[in-house]
Amino acid sequence: MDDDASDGAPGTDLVPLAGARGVPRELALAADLALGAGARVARTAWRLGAGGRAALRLTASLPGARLALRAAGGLARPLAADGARTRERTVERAQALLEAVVPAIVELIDVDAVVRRVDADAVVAAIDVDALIARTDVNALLARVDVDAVLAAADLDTLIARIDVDAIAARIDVNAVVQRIDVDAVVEETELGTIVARSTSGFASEALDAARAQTVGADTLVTRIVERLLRRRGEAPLGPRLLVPQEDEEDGAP
Amino acid sequence: MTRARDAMEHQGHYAGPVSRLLAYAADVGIVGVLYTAGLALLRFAVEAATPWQLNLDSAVFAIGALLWAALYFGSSWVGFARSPGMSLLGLRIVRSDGSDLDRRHALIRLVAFPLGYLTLGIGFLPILLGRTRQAIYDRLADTAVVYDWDAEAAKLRELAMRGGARRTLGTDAPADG
Repeated sequence: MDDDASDGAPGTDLVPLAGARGVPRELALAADLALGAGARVARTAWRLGAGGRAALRLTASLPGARLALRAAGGLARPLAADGARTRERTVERAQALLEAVVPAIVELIDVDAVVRRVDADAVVAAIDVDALIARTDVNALLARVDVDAVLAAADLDTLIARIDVDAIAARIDVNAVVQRIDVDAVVEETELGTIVARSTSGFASEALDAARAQTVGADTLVTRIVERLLRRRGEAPLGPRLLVPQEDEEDGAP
Repeated sequence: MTRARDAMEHQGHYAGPVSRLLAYAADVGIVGVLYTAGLALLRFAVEAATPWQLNLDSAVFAIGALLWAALYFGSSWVGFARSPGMSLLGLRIVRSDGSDLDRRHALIRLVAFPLGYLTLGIGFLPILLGRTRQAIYDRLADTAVVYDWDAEAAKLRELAMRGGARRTLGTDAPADG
């Protein structure tokens, strides 16, 4: 514990409010006497205890006692009413006093000093976080989250600046990405195709392309006719082993 | 129409009879034109430079033609694994397993080539009927003829032309869907 805690935190001493009037000495003495007498009576009554209550019951059972008690009740009623009024006024004044005093006391309390004296670690250690989480309906919690509002409040520029793009790029399989690109579509649908055509083609090469493609088609047709005439079954080898993967090699067969 | 895109899939496959025949026809045409032109040039040079005239016997002409053809095919097969006619059609000679043609097998093929004619054309028939398209001289030389032209570039050219034509016409839909 620190010295401040043991000596009393600064600012916790009660001091008279500015402008507060002092209590007359005589009045204070009278109040002390009344309090002392009341306390003595209460202690005596407590000591009398069961004996006193038994004597009261015995007295009430005597002849004429009921009449005497009724007369005493008639005499006490105005006193009781007067006492009730006094009590109510006292309560009102006490309430007014508290309303004036409590804010002043609160102002006098150094909340920071109080907080400093709290052992936050001990408080946190006493909390059963697992039980707390088990009792929490996370889905309901998330359903109440306004994601749009969260995103609107987020500083995305700062967030993006903290992202290590190089690390992400290093994990990307570029070859796999390139494999998925439809190069045919890129060439056909973009100006890149025009550039390719201008840089590589001439009338002769285009004519040659067409002629070769046509010839391949004719070869395929003739082959199909011959195969049908000879009634061959089964797939013919497409090409030499090193140039065209054979089916048994593709299947993994030795 | 068979497009270049489809033809690309045939690269490395055994060349069919139409391609082989057209390539051979082109070679024969080139050999004939060059031989005739060469002889004409030689005759003109002899007559211009000397008092003699060059009158060739038909047998000599034929032998000369055969030697010229042998030189034409032999040099192109040994040097490039394809004749000029085969280059036009995009064909290439390879070993039967697909490896590159070496000089020895190219010369064996050259020597065995006349067997196609000496068998009255029967030696050529496997090109049409055989599944590996190997003529008799291919069998003897352990060679085969395959499609081998830059179909990838041809395909790109074809795609670019079609895309350019569509953009020019202002139509968005692909021609073949």
